[in-house]
Amino acid sequence: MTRTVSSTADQYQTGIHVRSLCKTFGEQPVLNELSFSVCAGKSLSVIGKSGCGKSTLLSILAQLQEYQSGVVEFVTPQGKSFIEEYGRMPRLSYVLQEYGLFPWKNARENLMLPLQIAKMDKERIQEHVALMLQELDLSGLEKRYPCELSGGQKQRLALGRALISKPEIILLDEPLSSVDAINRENLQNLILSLWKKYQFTFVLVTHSVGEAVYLGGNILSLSKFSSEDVSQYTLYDNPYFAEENIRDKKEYFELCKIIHHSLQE
Amino acid sequence: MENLKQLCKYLLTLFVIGVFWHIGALCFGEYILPKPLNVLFFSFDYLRTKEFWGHFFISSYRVCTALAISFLAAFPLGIYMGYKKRFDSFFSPFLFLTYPVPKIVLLPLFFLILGIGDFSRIFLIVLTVSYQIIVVTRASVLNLDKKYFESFQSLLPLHVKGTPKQHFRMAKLVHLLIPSALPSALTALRIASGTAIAVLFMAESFATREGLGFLIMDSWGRGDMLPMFIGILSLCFLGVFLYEFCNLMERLFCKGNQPNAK
Repeated sequence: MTRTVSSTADQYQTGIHVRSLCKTFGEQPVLNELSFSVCAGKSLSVIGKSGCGKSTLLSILAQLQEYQSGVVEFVTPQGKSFIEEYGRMPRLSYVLQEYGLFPWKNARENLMLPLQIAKMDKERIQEHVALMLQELDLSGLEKRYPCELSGGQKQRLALGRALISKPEIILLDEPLSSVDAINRENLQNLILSLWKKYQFTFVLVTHSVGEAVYLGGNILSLSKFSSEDVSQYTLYDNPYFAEENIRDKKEYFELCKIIHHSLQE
Repeated sequence: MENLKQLCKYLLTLFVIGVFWHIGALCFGEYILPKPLNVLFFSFDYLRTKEFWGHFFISSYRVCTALAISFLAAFPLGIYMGYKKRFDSFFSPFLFLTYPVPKIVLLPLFFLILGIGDFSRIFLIVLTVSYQIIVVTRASVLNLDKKYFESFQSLLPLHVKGTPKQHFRMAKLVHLLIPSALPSALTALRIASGTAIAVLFMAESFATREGLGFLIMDSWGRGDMLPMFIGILSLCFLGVFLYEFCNLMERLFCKGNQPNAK
């Protein structure tokens, strides 16, 4: 029997509109006139070299950092403002680099922390945790501490902790950077299947071109800001996103190649 | 099984120490260093006296109360100093200026100001021990990896309007600051427990007729070596007990992030 945590009454879909976003650290501009949008229930992968502002962009979307100018808006599928329509911010989850799990909490405690902070009552927390453990194939490991889990297990746990609060948007900051190649592919598949099931909108920051193309409905290729550049970024549409066996298709490699070249310039 | 092994190790160590002690006793003579077996046989009688247990309990009471007060006062203060920059910049100069002062030299002063009761003795131990706990706890909060703060921040439900900040602060304390600083604070307590016993001995060797410190000094003065050694061994036992107790606390409350767990 499989029950899902999703489709509660107050879960909606939301897209993200970003217009003319500028961010500077002191005198140093990091993001300049950045505009893009992610449709509700779609995904965007952000790729670029170190220091081009990928992670900064993500923490701005997560409302963890201020920005100097521009607009960041959340929109319903009908194009209305999410906040005006539903009277609240969309629920956001953030998966940090290197998992961001707390070493002093075991798997179960890490998983339930977002719900505890949100003051959900205990019985419902237990219910959610049990489902999420099952969903992410972590049953039996709930008493283990992060130091006793493998890289892949930690990553699944981190994903579970992001998913458990039923987010409308998930932000992933190089989530698979510390996982080995084989696990990496499995986890990419897992992210995709979770996306199909829970229908959240997600933004993924990555270093790997293959991952960007595999997991991004749109791909944003960022380069480091310099004053000579006319544009700091290029947006690609990925028509093959979420198709079956995309990794074996010629078009996938073509797109990878194009993006790879864009990063070389 | 693990505990049994630990116990065997302890017993074996005790035996080896006993052998060396016995050799020492043969060299120095009974009057300076009594033989371990003589002390053991004497203890069968002496441990049945009310006098001994009176001394033992008053010493245990003093040192345990002092350690408990130290931890309860120093741990929160250390966390607060590590977390609140403004408070820290005001308070830490006082802390680090007075930190190197050996508190034990203030003993006469304490007796003068606070009287010669238990209070001044306990206070002296508290002062010695809490410094170490404050310093270590503060450092552990200051050195906590920024990624944990970010991670915690990212879990806050920002979509819920009007959640009082108080609530998030409380959650941060309970889920982030306390559990991350607890292992090093308990380690500091464990190490400080040895110092606490030393300070206890000093504090009990003046102006009191109760406690193991008094028992040792008094028997020594009378040249009564056997009770003196019972006193010394009891202080050792108290030290080992406190050390192992802190160890147990660490194992119980800091499962995922003990310094040696990786």
